[in-house]
Amino acid sequence: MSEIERERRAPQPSFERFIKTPKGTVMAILVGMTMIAALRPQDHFGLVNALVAALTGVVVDGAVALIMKRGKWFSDGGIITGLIVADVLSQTTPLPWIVAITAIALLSKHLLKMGRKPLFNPAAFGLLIATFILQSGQSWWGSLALMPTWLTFVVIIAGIFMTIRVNKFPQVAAYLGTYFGLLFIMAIFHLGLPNDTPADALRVPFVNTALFLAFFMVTDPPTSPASYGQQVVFGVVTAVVGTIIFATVGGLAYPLIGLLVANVWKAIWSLRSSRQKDASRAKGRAYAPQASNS
Amino acid sequence: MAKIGKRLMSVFGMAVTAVYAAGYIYTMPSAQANTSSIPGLNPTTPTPSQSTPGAAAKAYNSKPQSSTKKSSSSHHATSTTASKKSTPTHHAPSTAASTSSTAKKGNTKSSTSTNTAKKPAAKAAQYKDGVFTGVASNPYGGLSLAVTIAHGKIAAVKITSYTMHYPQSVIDPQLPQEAVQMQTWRIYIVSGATASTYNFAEAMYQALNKAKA
Repeated sequence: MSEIERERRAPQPSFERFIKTPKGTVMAILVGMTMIAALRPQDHFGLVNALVAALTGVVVDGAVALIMKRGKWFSDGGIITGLIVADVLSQTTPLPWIVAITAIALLSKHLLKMGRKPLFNPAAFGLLIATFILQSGQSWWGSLALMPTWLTFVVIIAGIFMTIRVNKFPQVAAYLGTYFGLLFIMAIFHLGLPNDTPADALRVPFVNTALFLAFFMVTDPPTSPASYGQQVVFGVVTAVVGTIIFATVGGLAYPLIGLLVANVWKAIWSLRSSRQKDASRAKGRAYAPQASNS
Repeated sequence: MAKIGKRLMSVFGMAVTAVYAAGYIYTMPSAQANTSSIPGLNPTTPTPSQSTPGAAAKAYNSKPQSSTKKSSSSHHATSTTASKKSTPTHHAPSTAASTSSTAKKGNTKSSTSTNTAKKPAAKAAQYKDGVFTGVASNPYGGLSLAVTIAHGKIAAVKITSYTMHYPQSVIDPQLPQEAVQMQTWRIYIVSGATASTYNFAEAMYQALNKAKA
């Protein structure tokens, strides 16, 4: 084997390999978007929030790994969850709350499980808890919601790239198509609250929240289905539940609730299909001796 | 699992874009109506620079960012002479410890520009006694407030309705207290609740315009 060939076949440096993984890609995109969003003078402090949240993610996941005696203690997933939490929470959120919300989000990943997979999207769970218990404000500043409108295209391009990377295009298309469609229907029939109108939801800054959720939260592989058919149902459930809450209650938590309800639907679906598989396996075993006798 | 084809992705992508565009175009009139008028805005003595809805927000936007001061939970708007020209020399007693430092900073800075600071004091004395209301809205929601004027000064500010997307606790009681302390609608921006702050300033501006004798 020649020297060049040996060099070509040698494993790439670990950072390059990591960045090419879905987690590496989403982390790079989130870091990039956070840095762009922090260019806004009022959002400079968001970088500190993001750093604290990411560190909390590493510490919490690392501690769980040590307790569970897992080999890998460094958690890239913890960093991603931390970044999403920091990107969504308002700038005014005190740092101890950022730490607490990130910790709640990550603990939900380890405690609320279905088999080996988490039941809820960790960031969405933590943020919803934060909204209802801590009454923390959400600005979704990491979705570039408060930046010039043209930067929304950066979110869209990065999001589509990410979606294709994790093979969740039908899910995202179903979510956004249903969400925008329902908002259109709401507008036609003049439905919704006076201060949460479809006109608002279809425009910057609110549309950025839907895009951020669709591209970076709905696509979370462990908490969303793999098959295309289920992906479409998952996306539709997320959008329908979210839009109903938007039309009746308003606020900013509606996309998170939609996603968490879809997570539950996915868990029930997985449980049902695994039980059906078990039942058919048991049936197979029961009939197997008869088959061999005949 | 086989990946979805590029052609199919393009079709789905175009379908989503078409649905979005249809909704966007259909809601254009209501969106324009929402941004072009603030319900209840009726300035009694408009000035060329502040006669239109959104004047307060524009005033904030026009402030330079160089001297912005930050803390862990909030930051204060810039304090150039221009931005503080309506800050009077007299202040109501401090009502909250959380905002006392804010008021002190405002006092210190306004005292450095005595010429401009005295004019608004004279203006403040021109307010009629009574309760005056102001409302403001923007894409993040709306709020209305009632300003009580006693002896020509802002005696109390109460947020009477609040439909912003942020919790009311982000700005209340901080901003009403600041408005009373500083005797102006030009209150400090609450970081992360900029839209709420703008609405508060807008509504205050409107109520104070009504209160002008």
